[in-house]
Amino acid sequence: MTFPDILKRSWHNLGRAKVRVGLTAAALAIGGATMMLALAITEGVQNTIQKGFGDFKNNYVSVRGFVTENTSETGVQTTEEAAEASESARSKSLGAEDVNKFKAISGVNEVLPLSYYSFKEVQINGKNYKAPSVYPLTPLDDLLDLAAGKREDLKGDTIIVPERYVKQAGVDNSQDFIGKKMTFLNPAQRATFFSPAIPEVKREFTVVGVTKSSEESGDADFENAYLSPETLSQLAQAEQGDNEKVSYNQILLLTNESQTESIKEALKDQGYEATTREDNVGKALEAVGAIRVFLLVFAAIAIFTAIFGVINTQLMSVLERTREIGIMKALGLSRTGVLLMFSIEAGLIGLIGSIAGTLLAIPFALLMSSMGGEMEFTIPITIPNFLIVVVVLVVVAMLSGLLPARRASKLDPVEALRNE
Amino acid sequence: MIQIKSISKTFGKKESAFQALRDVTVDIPDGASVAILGKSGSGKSTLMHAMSGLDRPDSGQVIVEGLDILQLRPKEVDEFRSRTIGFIFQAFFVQGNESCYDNVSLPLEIAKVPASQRKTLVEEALAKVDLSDKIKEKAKNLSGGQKQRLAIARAIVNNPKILFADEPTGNLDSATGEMVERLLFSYNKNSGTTLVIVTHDPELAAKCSMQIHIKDGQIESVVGTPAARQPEALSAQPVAAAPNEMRVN
Repeated sequence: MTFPDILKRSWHNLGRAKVRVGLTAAALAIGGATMMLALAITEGVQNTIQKGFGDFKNNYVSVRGFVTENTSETGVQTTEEAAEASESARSKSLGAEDVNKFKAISGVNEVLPLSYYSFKEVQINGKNYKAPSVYPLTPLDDLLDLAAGKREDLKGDTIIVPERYVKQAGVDNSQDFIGKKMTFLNPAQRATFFSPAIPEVKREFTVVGVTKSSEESGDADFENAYLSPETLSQLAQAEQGDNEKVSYNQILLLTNESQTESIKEALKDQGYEATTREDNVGKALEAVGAIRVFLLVFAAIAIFTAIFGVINTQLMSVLERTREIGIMKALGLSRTGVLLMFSIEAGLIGLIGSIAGTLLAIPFALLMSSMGGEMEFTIPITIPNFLIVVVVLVVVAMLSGLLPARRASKLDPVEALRNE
Repeated sequence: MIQIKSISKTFGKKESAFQALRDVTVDIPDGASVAILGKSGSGKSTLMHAMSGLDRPDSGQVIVEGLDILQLRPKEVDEFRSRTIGFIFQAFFVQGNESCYDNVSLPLEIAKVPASQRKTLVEEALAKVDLSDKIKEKAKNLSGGQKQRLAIARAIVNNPKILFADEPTGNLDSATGEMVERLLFSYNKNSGTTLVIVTHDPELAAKCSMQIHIKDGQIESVVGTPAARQPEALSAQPVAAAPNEMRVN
């Protein structure tokens, strides 16, 4: 028998036991769907990371504070130790002396001390709106896409705002919004049991740039407002009030790419909590890796269980078709031919399972993509991944079908055709 | 020409051993119609299986068309069967959920006949058994007689040299049985195909040019004319009237 003939007959045979084949394929489909999602999530997150980090250059070290002794040495802490450690870490904050120290390191091109501050409201044309998150604009934000204005103009009392405020102000063109004034404010807060009273903070900024709206760019970063790092530091410092010592949330060291790792290691040896871009990408990838491993393990269990379904289905099929196999062998179909016919049948169940599994994965992928929310990441169901699922399930099903197929091929036609 | 030379076959082992064939020797000329007669358990089916290459005797030779099929490798025996042999069974063994066309096409697919030639061959075979109008019908919708005719079409579609029929009328009423018999004998006569019928029905056996009587795994007697090589001569011969009996062993 030629391959197309065997394929055609195998397909017909599957059609004769639709429910049984359907159920077996469904079991495989669950494994296939999980596998597809594992592959798709990995790819989706990798895409997002790549988009977020742009052309990957390991050209900065970010220092966010000090590592407590206990964690760095043993990695294990009791609750009391942890509380104590975080207390001591809080008392030590990054300051001007650290900035000067970093500036002296060779391979460091620029040192950017960063502080964070947030506003609650923004006034446009006398109306109050929810304020955007405000970030310091650093050379690392090289992907920021402006609809109008120049990022170089950002200094002092100037600001880059998201495009949506242009519309809210009733201005048609982003270009016309440049030079407009916006008032950011934090209302006064009464003293509570937990915190002292905070006076109202009100600052007026001139718009020097408008970022493209997120509908077009698909990136949440473009919903943020940007101030110069110095301005943000002043705001943060003012909030701390009388405290004479200047402190920062983060110090960014722009480094030569070749020296980044050694600088980071040196800083860590000095007790700083230092990370590079590579580390940040790595962390994101680690998290994805964990999800992926979980899904793959689940897929493996599901597929492993489905193997028994395939074996069972095919054994039943062989039993039911004893006569038919006998006839085919009497008519001269070789053992290999019978083996092939039943293996292909099992493989076709795998094929059905992989197609059904991919279809099953699509709604889940859409659901998970939408759960990304501001993260804006998609879980792509791609053809290469589909082909991987097809190959894996078809091969697994064919291997599972080997045992029943062997039984069929060994059948003695004389026995099979004996008149009962 | 089928030459069986002292074949023996034993089933089972030791105490439960059963000798189905004991040193059987017989020649069947080309184009003959042969009945293998015997009671249940006499070894008649085993003899048929040995002749057709379905089963392997423990010893002896089975020479078909000058080829000792016991010397062939399993794959070659399969090929031999698909090219040379047609089978008809008492219980039809047609595939109920397949169309008549697919049933008849099966031996051609197994023999790797190109798809382009199959359609004509299948249509011809179905025409010969008068089932042309059922070509798309599922085999399970056919009557018993029609199923056996379908089985005949499947057996003859690849123009076999030898047609084996194991109790071909056993499951049919006498009228339908006769029609199937007529079909078999006329095919035997017209195509020159050797017809070997395994039966315990003396009436059917009497219509054959040669009868091989089997008892306890041995040939009791061979009745008929080994000279009957021409189909014409075969049909002209009133078999029962001229018994050319000879003892074997």
